[in-house]
Amino acid sequence: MEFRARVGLVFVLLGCFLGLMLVLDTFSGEMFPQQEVAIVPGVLIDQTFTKAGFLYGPQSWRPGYDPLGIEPGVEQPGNSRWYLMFIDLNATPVSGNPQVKRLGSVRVTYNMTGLVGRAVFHTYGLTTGTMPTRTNRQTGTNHCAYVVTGNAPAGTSMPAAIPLVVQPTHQYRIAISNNQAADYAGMTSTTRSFQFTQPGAGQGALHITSDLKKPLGMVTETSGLNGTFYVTATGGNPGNDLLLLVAVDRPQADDFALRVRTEFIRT
Amino acid sequence: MAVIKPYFSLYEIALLSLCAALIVALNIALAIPLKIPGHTGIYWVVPVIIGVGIVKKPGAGTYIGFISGILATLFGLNTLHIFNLLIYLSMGITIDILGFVFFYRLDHPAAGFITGAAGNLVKMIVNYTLQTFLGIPAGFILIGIGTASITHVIFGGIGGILAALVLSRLLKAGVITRDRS
Repeated sequence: MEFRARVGLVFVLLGCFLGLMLVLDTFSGEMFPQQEVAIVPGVLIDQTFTKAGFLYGPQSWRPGYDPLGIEPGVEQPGNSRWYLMFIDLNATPVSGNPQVKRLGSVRVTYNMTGLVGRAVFHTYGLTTGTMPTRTNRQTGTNHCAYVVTGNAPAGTSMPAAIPLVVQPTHQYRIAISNNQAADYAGMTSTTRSFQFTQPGAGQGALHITSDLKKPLGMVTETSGLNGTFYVTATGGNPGNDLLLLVAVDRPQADDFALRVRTEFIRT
Repeated sequence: MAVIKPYFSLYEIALLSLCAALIVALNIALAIPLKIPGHTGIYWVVPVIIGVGIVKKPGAGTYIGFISGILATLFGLNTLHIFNLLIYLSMGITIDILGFVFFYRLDHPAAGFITGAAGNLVKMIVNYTLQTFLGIPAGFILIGIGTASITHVIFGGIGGILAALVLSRLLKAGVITRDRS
């Protein structure tokens, strides 16, 4: 066979292969249908917290390498006064390659009573070794949080709260407000460790979304005192346990209550 | 006593090794921020095709792929580590086979295009297979393998044409000859 004929033949074969790839791409959804979102049976935590659960504040920041703002989209903490509560969710999302494993997210269902002002939810993923603690992005592309606004009568004080001190080592020992979540290896049942190794480290590894079709997260503002949101992960390592940060911007009344339930959702 | 003549001469071994090293050097030195799957094929098929086009012996591409795979593993070019060897080797073998099919006339732009495109495409397939089995998120999984195939063919093809033009200039300058001496 002549040179030109061989070039033509191989060119046609290459074209056929490309066509096959495009056909595979087009019909792969029908040939390999995606498994539907499914709740894994079992509630991971179901606990009610009162204003005594706000152990930190008043302060304008949340832990990061440099202190992060609490208001979604605000990088530098201002003069706002927030009260913080950390809750161990006893769960973690599963991220990675969807071709080889089923991914999952954590569904958080909350019910609040007596909320005054704004309550902002952020999330942290605990890590081991030198890996920085994971969290949702505070500013910029794909920054996310969940904000609930309530108009109950205001409280006068938050007696359990003391301000968290900014650590120059960028490491924090955080007391959680629940004690029924499973103990984490090497830690006591009431504290968890955060470590941030460099500016921006760990940010964006976790996302908060109210719509699983948008797994990279969004800022959701609602006045619904009962609702659901999801903690998702799209990176390599979401951490091995999740903490939920609940921050409120003013003292709550004595009848304040927050019920939190978590479930694992296969996506 | 009969002297066993080596398959590749010292000159050929040196040339093929330099081509292999050039692939790794180009990968490290050139960081094109295109973010399109397969865009690196525009430069990394060039040394392989030139090496095969000059040496004109079966196994030349495989040798380049093997050496560059080892170098890529040692330099830690991506997350695949030792599996880099399979990617580079598959590309080398493909270019080897097509060089043989095209009578080593890789200075022809059409032959260069097909050889470069096929080499880059096979590299993508091996890469895709490895990434899928190892569970590493990859760009072409997100954009779809059909689109990724087209971009690999285009960039590999452009690299192949560049290699063909270089070989053609070397032939015209008399640095290399069309028939193996």
